[in-house]
Amino acid sequence: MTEAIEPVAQAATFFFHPSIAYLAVGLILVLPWKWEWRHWRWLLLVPPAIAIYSVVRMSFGGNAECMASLHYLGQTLNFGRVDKLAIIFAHVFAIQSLIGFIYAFHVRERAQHVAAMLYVAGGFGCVFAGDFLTLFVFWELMSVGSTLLIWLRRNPKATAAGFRYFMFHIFGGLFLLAGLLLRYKALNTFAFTAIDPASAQYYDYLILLGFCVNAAVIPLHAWLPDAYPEASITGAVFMSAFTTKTAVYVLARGFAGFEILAVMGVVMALWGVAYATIENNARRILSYHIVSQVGYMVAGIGIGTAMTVDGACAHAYAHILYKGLLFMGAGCLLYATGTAKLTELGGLVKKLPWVMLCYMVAAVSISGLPLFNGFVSKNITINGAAEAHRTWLALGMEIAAVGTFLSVGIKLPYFAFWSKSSNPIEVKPIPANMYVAMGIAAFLCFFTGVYPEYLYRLLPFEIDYAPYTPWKVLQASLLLGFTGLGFYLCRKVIVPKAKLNLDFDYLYRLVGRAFLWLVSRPVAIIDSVWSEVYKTVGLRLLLFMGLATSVFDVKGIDTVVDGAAYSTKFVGDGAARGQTGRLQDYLAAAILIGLAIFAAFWFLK
Amino acid sequence: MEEKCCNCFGEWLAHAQERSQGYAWAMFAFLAFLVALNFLIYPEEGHFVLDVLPGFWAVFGLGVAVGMTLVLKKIIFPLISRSEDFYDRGN
Repeated sequence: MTEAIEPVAQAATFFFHPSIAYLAVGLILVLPWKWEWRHWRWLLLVPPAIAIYSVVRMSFGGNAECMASLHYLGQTLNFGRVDKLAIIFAHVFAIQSLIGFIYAFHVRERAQHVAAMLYVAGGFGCVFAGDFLTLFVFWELMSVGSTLLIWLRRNPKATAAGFRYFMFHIFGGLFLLAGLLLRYKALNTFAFTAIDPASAQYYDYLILLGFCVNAAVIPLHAWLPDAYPEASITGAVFMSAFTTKTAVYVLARGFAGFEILAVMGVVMALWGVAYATIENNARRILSYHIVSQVGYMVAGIGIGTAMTVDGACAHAYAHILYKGLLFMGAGCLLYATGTAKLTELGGLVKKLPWVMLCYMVAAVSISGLPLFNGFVSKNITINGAAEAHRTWLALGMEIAAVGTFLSVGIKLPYFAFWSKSSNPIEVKPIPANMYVAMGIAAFLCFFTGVYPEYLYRLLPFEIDYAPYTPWKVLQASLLLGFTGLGFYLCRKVIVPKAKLNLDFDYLYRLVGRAFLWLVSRPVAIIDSVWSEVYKTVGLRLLLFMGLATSVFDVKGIDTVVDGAAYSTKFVGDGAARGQTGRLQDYLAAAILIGLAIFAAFWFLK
Repeated sequence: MEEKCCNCFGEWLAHAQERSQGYAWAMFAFLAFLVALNFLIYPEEGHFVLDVLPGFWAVFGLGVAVGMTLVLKKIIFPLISRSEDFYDRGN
């Protein structure tokens, strides 16, 4: 199982790290110059163009363990591990970053583009990282970039959500750091290679935990539907593509065949659709569907056969395209109307027909309708699971497929675009670049659905899965068609309500509060006890000490000092009285003293 | 030009929305056709034992969609839903 994950080594011929282009343009954008917006915005398309060129050229070459390295602090950082697993992710990252920057082309705020550049650079860095240290650096760069994309929505809710997001990712990053350091201590290497499930040690599980945070594995997932709906409109499009899919990549690289992932992946697939079915906010529904769809990938990786790992990679490729398109559609709704809540939308099909059309292409793609990319990629994973005799897991994924079409394929567009005959809400015109980006994404969803060979060529393993057999097409049509009938029958029940649904983030907040309590209460208690002790014992002791000092001062110091003064005065007075000023007195005194000394001398002798 | 084109498509869709009942009947007919087709096209061996039976995936899709909606909206949702400012009130 896992040994198959290791790529066959062939000589790669070309490598240019795409992150360099993104970081360079990001740096140019933060420099203080006064170019007109209509000029500098064209720079945004340069890094994606370079990345696409670079990755396409790499995809024609072979594999290489290290195409770019740096010696730092006695370690060799490997920035350029190139193989098919890295290339398929880099390929779709490059395309999606182009779509993302076209979608964000109208945004004049440079900071948003800089954040996106950092974020995408982090994603590419993780994909080509050959060792855990390099991975960690780019992993954290992604956290910073994505947090900025949330904060740049610039409202109090986004600020709070961004802070929670950052806290959670730092928490996940610390697990990764602890795991990689302990692993280094045990194995004396930072090399990032496949880990055998049979001999995995505690440090491997720490690393796995760090990866699972970013992959939004239940119960570590709630940061995602908390933060993504609060991100900026264009930022959410980037975020939907990179964080979780980078995590899928590192799981496929390191943890294929881990049983826990197989089970948790299916739990994710079901959990996500369940919440999406009852959610009201369009972008939160889509966020839950990231959890659900990443579940398919995590399950495929956990099952760990060549077919299911291929399925996970193909699904990641397809998912980045259609999920980006879904977020672009929901972003258009938010941009045009100022809200993404289904209770406030509806009846918009007349005003936003092309948004509806593009959204529907993505919706049927994610649902796995024949002719669209999800049909190919999802079924590779499900069939792979069934062929590996993981029947229950495959069944769970089929149930999740029904839930997907129900919630994101029908419910969301029905209540956003249809459901009412018209909507008095004011609709702002949508910039042409947003339509262009959606058009490209919609075309690619269709293209990779109709020509899966294009996708197959990028997969890490050989695959002979034929999606377009009469039975597979009929099966998918039956499944989705009757799900549609189910919606039709339940359309009065499934009406969204303006409510907040508790998820694991409620527990996170409880844990957060408990931590705050632990930190603040014992310290407060110690402080108050100390004050009391000081008041009752310390103060009295101090008063006593003061009193004793005063007594000592009066009885001791004063007695000695005053006594010495009195004696001096007495002696002085006596001496003064003896100073008569008459010579005969002094002579008499001198003779008396002389006689006394003589007498004493004579007597003592 | 683009505006006019947008309106054409939008108008057509809005018009289609008014005739939704007709589309619903077309959909029912299509679903019946799919089930009929299932008697002719079926897998030689299924993954889940019962899925070789004609109409299995129709029943599965309908059953899961209705069951999921009822359980989630009628049982789970009332249990876990709170007012929208639930988390903000604590602050």
